[in-house]
Amino acid sequence: MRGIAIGVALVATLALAGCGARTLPTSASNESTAPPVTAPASPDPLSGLDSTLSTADGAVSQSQSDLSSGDASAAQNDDQ
Amino acid sequence: MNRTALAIIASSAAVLVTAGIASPALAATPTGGLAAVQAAGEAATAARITALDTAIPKVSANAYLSPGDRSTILGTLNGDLSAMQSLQAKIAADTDVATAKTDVQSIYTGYRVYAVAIPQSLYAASADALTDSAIPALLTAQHALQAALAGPDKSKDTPAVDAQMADLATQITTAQNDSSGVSAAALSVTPSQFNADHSVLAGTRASIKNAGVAAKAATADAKAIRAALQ
Repeated sequence: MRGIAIGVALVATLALAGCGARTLPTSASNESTAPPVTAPASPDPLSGLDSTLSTADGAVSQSQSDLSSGDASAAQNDDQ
Repeated sequence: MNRTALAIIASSAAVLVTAGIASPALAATPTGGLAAVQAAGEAATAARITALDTAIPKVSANAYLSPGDRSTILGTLNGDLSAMQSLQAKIAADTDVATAKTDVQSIYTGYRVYAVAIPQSLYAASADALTDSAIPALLTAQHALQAALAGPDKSKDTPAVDAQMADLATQITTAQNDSSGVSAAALSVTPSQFNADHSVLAGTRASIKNAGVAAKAATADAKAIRAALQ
């Protein structure tokens, strides 16, 4: 009797620990086909940096071009 | 005053006039008969109409100008264009020398197309390109580089990279300080202010130039750091 009681307790413990899932499948237990869950990859901080620097380059070039054009106009004699 | 001093003064005045920076008091009035004054008026208005016809489409196409500044600039330039066209017709129809001279003089003192209207529009555009595009892009780049150096590229951080990051921050701050409020300052200058002070745009122009130099240096810093993290 004591041996039977120990055996029952062991089976109950295993079932509670999830070890009995294969013998007691449920409609929601699809773990075997679900994709593994992995942590999302950290985005590369430098992604898009080249494009950003190209934007800065273009704006600085345009700024210098406008400044030079303004200087060229201002250099013309606007007095009689 | 001795003859040497007088010669130096006369020479200096001649240099100023030749350089086109004579004071308003030295500006000559139109001379000659009605036909000569009308010819001078025709040449002056036609040249400014051509300059404005060239400038206006460029302002419209300038992708870096803020909408507000573009609107202000186009208002000024189109207004000056209409005024030059009106003066051109009026001067041609003037029947006395005095009226024609006054009209010709107003081409200069009333509008300052070359000295104020066109330069101020271009200086404002130059400032907008820095404040609205270059500096925001540089700040984005700075933050990206900081994140990389604090994370995945931490092992590539060196004293040289740290020095470039420090200079990047300094140059961005300089560009921000020197370009802040400059487009508004440029666009606020009037022909009357220029008539009283021919250097009225000089400070604005210097600020934009300094900001542009700093923005260019910051871009070079960011590219160098980017290369070091490859």
